[in-house]
Amino acid sequence: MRITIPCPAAWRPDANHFAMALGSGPADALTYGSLNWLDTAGNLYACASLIVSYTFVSKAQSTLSHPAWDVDNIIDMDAARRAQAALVFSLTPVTAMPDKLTACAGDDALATLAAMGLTQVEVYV
Amino acid sequence: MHNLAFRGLRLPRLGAMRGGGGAVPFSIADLFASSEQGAWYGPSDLSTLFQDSAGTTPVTTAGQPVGLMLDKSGNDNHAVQATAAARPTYQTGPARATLDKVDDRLSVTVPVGGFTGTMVLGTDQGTASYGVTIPAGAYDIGGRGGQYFPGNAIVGQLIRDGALSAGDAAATEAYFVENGATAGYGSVTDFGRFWRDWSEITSFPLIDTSSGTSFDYAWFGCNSLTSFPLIDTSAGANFRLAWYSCTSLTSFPLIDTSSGTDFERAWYSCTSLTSFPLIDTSSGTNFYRAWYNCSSLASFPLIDTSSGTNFVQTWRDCDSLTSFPANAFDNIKGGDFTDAFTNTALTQTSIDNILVSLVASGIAAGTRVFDQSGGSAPSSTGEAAIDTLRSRGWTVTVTGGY
Repeated sequence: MRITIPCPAAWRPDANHFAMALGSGPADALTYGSLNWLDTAGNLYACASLIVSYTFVSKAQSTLSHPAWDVDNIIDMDAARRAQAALVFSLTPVTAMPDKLTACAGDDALATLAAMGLTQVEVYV
Repeated sequence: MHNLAFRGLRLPRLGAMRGGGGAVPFSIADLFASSEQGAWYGPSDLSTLFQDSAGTTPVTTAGQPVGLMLDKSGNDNHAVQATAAARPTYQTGPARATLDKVDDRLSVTVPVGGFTGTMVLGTDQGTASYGVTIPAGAYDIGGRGGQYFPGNAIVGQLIRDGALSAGDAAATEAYFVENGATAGYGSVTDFGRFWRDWSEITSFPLIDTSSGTSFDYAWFGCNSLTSFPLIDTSAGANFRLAWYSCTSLTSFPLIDTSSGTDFERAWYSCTSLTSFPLIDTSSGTNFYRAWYNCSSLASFPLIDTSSGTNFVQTWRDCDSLTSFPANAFDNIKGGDFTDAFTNTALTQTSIDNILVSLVASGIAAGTRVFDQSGGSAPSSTGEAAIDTLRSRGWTVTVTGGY
């Protein structure tokens, strides 16, 4: 199943710790990068889209544990848990929210983002 | 661990003959046989795909992520993605690395000296060869920034330092097509953002774009293109920002834009264009900033503006533009010329031509604004036209302050 997750600008640091807590290495700190998406109210989002298993979805909504790979303790688990608390999971697209991590299922990531009310930021004059 | 030793691997393709019909079976490996730098990726070869960037977990079945795609050229320019969410997905039928066009991409570190040569790209929507100059450092495989890519999946990709012959490029394309890539782009209707920000492209191929209706942002920021081929754009309606900031284009072909309605910013900041062809703009309604800052244009052709309603800043900052034809606006449908000719270099005859033509249009309702600065002030002929326009409710600002 593909899920697409717009991350509000203010949530990026916490969300990237959350991504590391669910992931397999420090590079997952780059999961939410450029703020390339915009909602109708002008809020900016960084977006990620990936294919996940139902096990992953369950893990993302269960009590977080510190992953074994993080021997250097680079993950801020408090930040990760804050992001997890903001996670909303939906099997159908719902409107992106500037105070939530809204993960929506859908085979076509761009179509999902459009259905969530987001458009690409266009940098031109 | 994966085997990185691919140099010398020969993959003879009986259906593709080198040089387009010679007796020697074509082998992509031969393109790198003299230690040419470059890279070659082929998702159809499962032995080159790994789910993780370290290359410990092979891709074995459809639906798995691709974190490492080995370079089959023998140059060890492997493409990696360490961030799990940004990995393409392996799919079959045909074998390919699919891209979500949100964040998926692999990265290859181009060695010192960069690559100047040819890139052949086989995708699920079309296959083509490009001239490229790629500087040393990180380079995205699978879409600029994970967003802009001419298709939805990589079926095969080759980059070689040193241009391929036309025959070798064609044979490489044929090889990718044999592996499942779509041959041409003839079925694509929406080319939106396909090559956006591909500044590495130095030449663009004559691909089949005959079904394309939307070209918005298609070549936005392709600032290394010096020329452009005569592609078929006869079905194109939307040309918004299509060649925006193609700053190295010195000429532009007489493409068919007869179906084009929206030309907003289409050639914005094509600062090296020294001439512009008499394209068919008879269906064009929106010319907002269409030729803004085309600062090397000295003259402009008598295009058909008869459907035009929005000319805001259309030729603004064309500061070399001296010559503008008569009768250009005789049949326009709207009168918004806000900053249309601000900071231009129009001759007196040209500004007179424009003002007289606006009178001829008969526009006496709706937005009626005209701005010119730079260049010459109108003559008495132009001043008389201004008087008429003002009597019809126009706000007119021209050089000299009349």
